[in-house]
Amino acid sequence: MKPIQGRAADPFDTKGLREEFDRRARRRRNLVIGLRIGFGLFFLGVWELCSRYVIDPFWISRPSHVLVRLWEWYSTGFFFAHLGVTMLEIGVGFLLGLAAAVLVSLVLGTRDTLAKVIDPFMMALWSVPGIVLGPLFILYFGIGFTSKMVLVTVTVFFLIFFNTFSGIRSVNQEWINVLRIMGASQNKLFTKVILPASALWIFSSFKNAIPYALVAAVVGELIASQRGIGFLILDASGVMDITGVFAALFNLMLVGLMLNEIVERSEKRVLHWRQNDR
Amino acid sequence: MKPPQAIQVRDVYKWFISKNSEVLALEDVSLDIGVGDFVSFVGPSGCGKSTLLNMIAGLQQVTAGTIHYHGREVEGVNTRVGYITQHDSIFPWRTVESNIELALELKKVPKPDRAARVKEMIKLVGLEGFEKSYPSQLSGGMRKRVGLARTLIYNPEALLLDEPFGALDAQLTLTLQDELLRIWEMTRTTMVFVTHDLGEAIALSNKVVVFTGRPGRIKLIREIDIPRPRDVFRIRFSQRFGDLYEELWASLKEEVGKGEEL
Repeated sequence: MKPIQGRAADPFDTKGLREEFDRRARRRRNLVIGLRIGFGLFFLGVWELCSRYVIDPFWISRPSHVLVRLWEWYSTGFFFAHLGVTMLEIGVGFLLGLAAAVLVSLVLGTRDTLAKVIDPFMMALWSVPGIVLGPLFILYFGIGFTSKMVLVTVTVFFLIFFNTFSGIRSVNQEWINVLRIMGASQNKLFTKVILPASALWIFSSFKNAIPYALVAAVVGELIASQRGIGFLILDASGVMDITGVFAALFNLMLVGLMLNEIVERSEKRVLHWRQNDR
Repeated sequence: MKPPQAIQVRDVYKWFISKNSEVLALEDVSLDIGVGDFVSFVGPSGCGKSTLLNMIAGLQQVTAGTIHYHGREVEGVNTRVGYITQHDSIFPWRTVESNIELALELKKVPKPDRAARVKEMIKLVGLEGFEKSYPSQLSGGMRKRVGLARTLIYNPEALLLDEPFGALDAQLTLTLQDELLRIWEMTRTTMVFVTHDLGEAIALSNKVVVFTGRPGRIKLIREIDIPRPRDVFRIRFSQRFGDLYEELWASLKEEVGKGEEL
């Protein structure tokens, strides 16, 4: 927001100007929130009307139908079992992928020759979209939890690995020198400099990787599954239940937003020292 | 009887060999630095003065010759010195306190002892009230102080300073020079100070070493016989300072620009 200008009776009494600024800021915030709600309602209204008078609700369902379905899913607890499966696939897969990525990049990031040797293989693997390995993993690990988890792990691994690797490679050499002169061992160099200095890269890749982890889990479920949000979509579309598909998609959206929020919050906690950086 | 030597540099050569260049950075450098002495290296950029400092710190290797530190040859990183560079390489993810504490943390000093030492250091460099601040909240001068305190806390026998005040404005530089002198007079830590500012070198040191342009050789070693304690704010106006500056600048002037074309 623009700083506010104006005349005050007393040059050191800025209270009035401060109040005016706060008032304007509040008004603006309320306007934005109000318009957001209005936009959402408008969109739902158009959808509702279209489905009543223009397009057969068989194809596009109807907000009120979706709402009823969501209520059924939530109130019977039917949905939460599926949600739990998908979240577990994402959670476990993500953690495994993250741990592997950080570990491998720590090893390769400090060993020049090895990194050079491995580089083309990493790039070759990376150029294959992880998702296409889905059918293979289902063959290897069955249609249950494991195959989706592995798919998430592989997807997340590459996304985080490349970022963390370049982060570790670009750690300020002076930081390392200072610690070596203080007599730090190789282990201490990792824990005291290299890891915290790379936290920034790790976190920015975190944020990128979260939506992909969700995609990997759901696509895995779409290929073959018996539970999960992807399964709900697959199942509903199999019987032409468009309302069910939309209800599942809505939940998917919520999950995505929630995951993002979690990352942003943990980022603020871990990288709190950056608070004054621009 | 000769006073004990902290650093003895003997017939040192340094080559930098890379894919398409071979550069002789230092040629036949020999030098003694006594315990508790304050010695400055000046010379045109590229003359190898920082390289020599890095070799004393054991961060780089000599190509030929030897460097002895307190009688022992430097092989590998020299953990008995403190090392401060132009970039205040303090860690942005640690508070002032925990930056300063780092060396003791590495040496596994028990927590209560650490806290006491940190407090002492914070007082020494005048950072009271900023213990919990992060570097991003500090000014350039304050960050320098953190860097100094972080190094002094483990009582290094010698401080190696590589243009420590290079990036600061003139007033702040003077203030920090003054504090460095105060600390040196208190601790009598051996100081090796690399700078491109001849005035700074004269104001602070007992001895100024002038290097030639690349390849760096020692051109001149001049005792600075200005009495102590010195006032860095006024010293520049004294006759003796002026004479020494003239003399050394005449010698340095011929070298400035020599290393540049490479």
